[in-house]
Formats: sequence, structure tokens, C-alpha cells
Amino acid sequence: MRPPVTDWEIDFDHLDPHWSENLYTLWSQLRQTCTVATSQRFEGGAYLPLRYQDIHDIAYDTEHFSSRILVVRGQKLPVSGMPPVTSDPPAHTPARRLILPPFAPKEIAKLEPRIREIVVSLLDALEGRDVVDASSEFAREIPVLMTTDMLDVDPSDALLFRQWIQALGTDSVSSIEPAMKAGEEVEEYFGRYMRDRRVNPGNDLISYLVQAELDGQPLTDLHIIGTLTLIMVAGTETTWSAIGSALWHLATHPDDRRRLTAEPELIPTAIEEFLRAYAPVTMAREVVKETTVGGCPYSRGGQVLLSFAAANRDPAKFENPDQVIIDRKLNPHAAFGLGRHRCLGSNLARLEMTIAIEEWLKRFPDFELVPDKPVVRSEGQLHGVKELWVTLPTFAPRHPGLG
Amino acid sequence: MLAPELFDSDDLGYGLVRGEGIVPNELLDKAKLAVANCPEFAIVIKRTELPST
Repeated sequence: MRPPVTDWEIDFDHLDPHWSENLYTLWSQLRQTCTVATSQRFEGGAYLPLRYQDIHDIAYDTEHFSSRILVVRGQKLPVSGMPPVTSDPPAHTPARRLILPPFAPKEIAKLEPRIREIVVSLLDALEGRDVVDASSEFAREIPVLMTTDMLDVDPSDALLFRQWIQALGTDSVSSIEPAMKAGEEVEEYFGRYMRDRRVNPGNDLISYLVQAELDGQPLTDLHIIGTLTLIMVAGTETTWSAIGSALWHLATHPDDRRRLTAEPELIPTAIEEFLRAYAPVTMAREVVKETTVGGCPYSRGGQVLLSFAAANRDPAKFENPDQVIIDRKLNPHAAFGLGRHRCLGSNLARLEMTIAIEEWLKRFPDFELVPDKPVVRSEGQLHGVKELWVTLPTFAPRHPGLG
Repeated sequence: MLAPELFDSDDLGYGLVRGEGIVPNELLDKAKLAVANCPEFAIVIKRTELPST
């Protein structure tokens, strides 16, 4: 398959199994000897800056670093936009602005009862089990069901979403065919819903987009499909990874678990620390104009692995960065990115994570990893736990008198 | 939200300062935490002299 990496400093590979298995240790080791790792495995050459400051500066420098790529690939794909995440200024500003209202804090706050309903019903379905995969049977379902809700599509389409996301992302780092095929299927899928919502508008995001205007004109189909694809991808994989990581942490750190169970008011602060330490996303940029950042030259055509997760572990920015301190007060983390592309869904993600952990701990205050089952982690630019087998406590009988 | 007494958000989700943006002494620690935790450095606290009555 892929030749193994022997020198991460000059030949990094985010698809090497060592990457996802030892992410933080790897970054910490690299930081001893370099500030930017490089690799020739990717078309145009690739860069992996490790300092928060450099990552910040690159995120803000839209003149030299374009958002046209989301994934660092061996072979670059023909540009297929997902506005606004792949948009550069000047197109970026209006494309982002029009999609802000449905994701504003006050709008998202209205979804709290629905999120709690979804979470509680997922937990209800786990009752009576003594061993469960907290990731695929719980964490993964929450953002997926919220996304199908917000789009008002059939919840069982979540399976299709997962397949497409895999094809568009990790599967197409080595070969572009999976992405091309998935792209066609996604276009056809959303095209059908768009046609329907033009005739039967509702309160959902698809209706919102088919009615939206940019400079007094309706959005093009290409724009709408791109934005819907973005919502599908961003709304499902990322949050689920973050919830999975939080549950992994609590399964393996009984003191923290006990503290959060006893002090649920601490959960929002703990969520911020989980977001920092286990940030689920590494983004990408393409170098469109040669430049130097933090003393490192970036050549035109190069691909940058812009890792907000790595930024969150920089000792120059965070004290004891590799320690997860659930009541950490000073925490200007970059899990949701930096600059104009800052995650649109951050309010929704935070709410989903908070409710997921709150309700899980209420239901299962004691849970641990199943000893003989390996924890399976996400690959590539997604950082999280895909499979997390945990043991649940045996329950007290429902009717104590009948014990 | 770190300091809901001090901050609100608008329809686009942008942060807003509530009222005149004067931080009462009992909320100063919260305000400082908000400043320290804003990853975009969007919040600034200034010390001003209030007119004496």
C-alpha cells in the first residue's frame, strides 16, 4: 500500500497508520526539531506547520493561501466548490453571510429540546446492554440526525451521507475516482430535493438556500449543491468525532468522569478542553502565491495541512498543552478554526456535545473501555474515535421491591 | 457563553456588547476571562475614569 514513513520531518503522511494512532506524540516529537514538517508525497509538495502562530497567520493570509482545497491529496482534484468553505475573498464574504442566520446562537438554541430528545432516545435504546460502541451507536448518530432534521431529508439517508463523506475525503487521497463518483451522486441527490423544495418550500436549510439571493440573484444550483455538501460533511463527521473523543477521555479518566458527574455545571468548560485537546479537524490550504511564514518558505502550488488540532497543542500558546485539564480556564483554542472561515456550526456543535455528555453521564456515570477491544480512530484529517467499546454498569432493578 | 451578562449576539451570530459596555467591578474577572479566551482577539477592555459626581 503506501510506503511507510521513516522521517516524519521531510516525508509526513497523514494516511500512515502511525499518524492517527500516535497523533499527539508525533506532533510533540516533531516540535523538538522543526516548526514545519514537509512531504513530497503530495502534488506540489506539502507542508505541516506546527506552531499556533504560523497556523493563525496562514489562516488569515487569504492572499497567499487559498481555501480552494479541503483535503491534502496525492493528486489534486479539479476544483469543485463548496461555498463558503472553499471560497476566497471577494466571493467568500457574501457567500458566508447568507448562510450565517440559521446557525446563529439564538437560532441554534431553539434546537435544544430536539437535540435532547434525540440524545435521550439513543440512550434509551442502549438500556439493558452491558457492552456498547459509544461511538457508532451514540456519538455518531447525534449530529447525523440533527443534519437530516435541518435539511428535512429522510434520517435513513445518513448511511448514504457516511459513504459519500468517506469517498470525498479519506478514500480519495490516493485516487480521485471515489470522490468523482460520490460528487455525481451527491449532485443528483440534492438536485431532487432542490426541485421539490422550489415547489413545496418548508422551514429547512434546503428551502432556505433555494430561496436565498446573492447580489439580488438566486443562487446557482452549483452553489446550493456545494453548500449542502458542506453542511452534510461538516455537520456529521466532525461533531461525532468530538463526542467520541470526549467519551473516550471519560472512559479512561475515572477522576474526571466522577467530577463531571458530581459537578455537571462544569461540563461546558470540560467540553471546551475536549475541543482543544481532541480537536477533530485538520483543514487544508493551497499556496497560490509564494511566501514565507514564520521563517519557512512556501512554494506556489504547495498544499498545506492546516491543523487547528496541532495548533491547540502548541506549548507556546497553551500551558501543559498535552494535559487535558477539564477545568482549564484560559483556553483560547482554535478547534473551530481561525479567521474568516471559522466554523459556522460551532454553536450547534457545542450544544450537541454538551447535551450528549450531560445525558450520557446522567444515564451511565460509570463506564470503562472493554479491555480486549481496540479503540479505532479516524484517519487523515479527521481526529476522533470511530469505535469505542465500553462496558455499562448493571442497573438497579426498576422496581426495587422486586429485586 | 463565558459572560452572558456582558455579551449578546446578533442575527448573524456576531458578538455584541450589551448596553454601554461598562463592566461593573463584580464582573471584571469574567470580562478579563472573555478577553483572554477570545481566539480572534476581538474583545478589548479599557480602563476609564468615570466622572465624579
